[in-house]
Amino acid sequence: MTGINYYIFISALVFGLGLYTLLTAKDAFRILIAFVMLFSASVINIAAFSSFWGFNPEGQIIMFSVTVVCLLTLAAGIILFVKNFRIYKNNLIKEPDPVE
Amino acid sequence: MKDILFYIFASITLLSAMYIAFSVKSGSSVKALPYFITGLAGFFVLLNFHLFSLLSVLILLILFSGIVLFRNRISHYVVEASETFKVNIVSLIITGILTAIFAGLPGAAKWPQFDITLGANSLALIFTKYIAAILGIGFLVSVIISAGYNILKNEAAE
Repeated sequence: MTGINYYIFISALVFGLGLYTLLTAKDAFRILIAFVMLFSASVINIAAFSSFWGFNPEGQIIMFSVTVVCLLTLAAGIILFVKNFRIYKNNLIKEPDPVE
Repeated sequence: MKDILFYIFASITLLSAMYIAFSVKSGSSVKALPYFITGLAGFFVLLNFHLFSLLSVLILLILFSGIVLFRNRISHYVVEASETFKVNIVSLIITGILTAIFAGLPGAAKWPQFDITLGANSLALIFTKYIAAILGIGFLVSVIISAGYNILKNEAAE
């Protein structure tokens, strides 16, 4: 029987991989995917806790809020990414120019 | 049966997540994302969250069709970095330790009962307790609408 520990372990691994992707990202696409992974890790955790500690509507409400925020963030990121691409003709993350 | 399904979905999720994290090309990461969401939808079914599983499958369908329909456009937007990625083992270990600590925190808190009333006359509650969340969502929606309008206006001008 799979307990809550299994889900927390999977969530932690997904969160770690998402954080690693975010920290080592060199382009905007990878940052968007990393955000999806981080939100997914939190959603797995919420679903597991809500399911194992009595199936109640609070978990559903929090999960729905997190999913809506995730999708809105993703949509905003994609739009800003397309806008950035049209101005600079690439999507690479660069170091800022040194101040003279 | 449920255990076997859990291990199948866990392996799909983790393998695709590792592929996303360690693949050299960003295009490969985008292609691995639908598999990641497949594993996520499987977890939701196992945890009796059927509505969210359906939502994940819908996102999956939109993502798949978007990748297939706009593959030329996506490949146009994906500009690969010239230098190759190097895996830093120290940062990986530190990230893993921090993740383990943060993942243990909710377990230690033992999922406190949330003070949410689901009564019909809770309109005042929305404007007092959840004002920060409403403002955040409103800000995101305004960014999306204004940026989308700007892009459409520029396209019309071109």
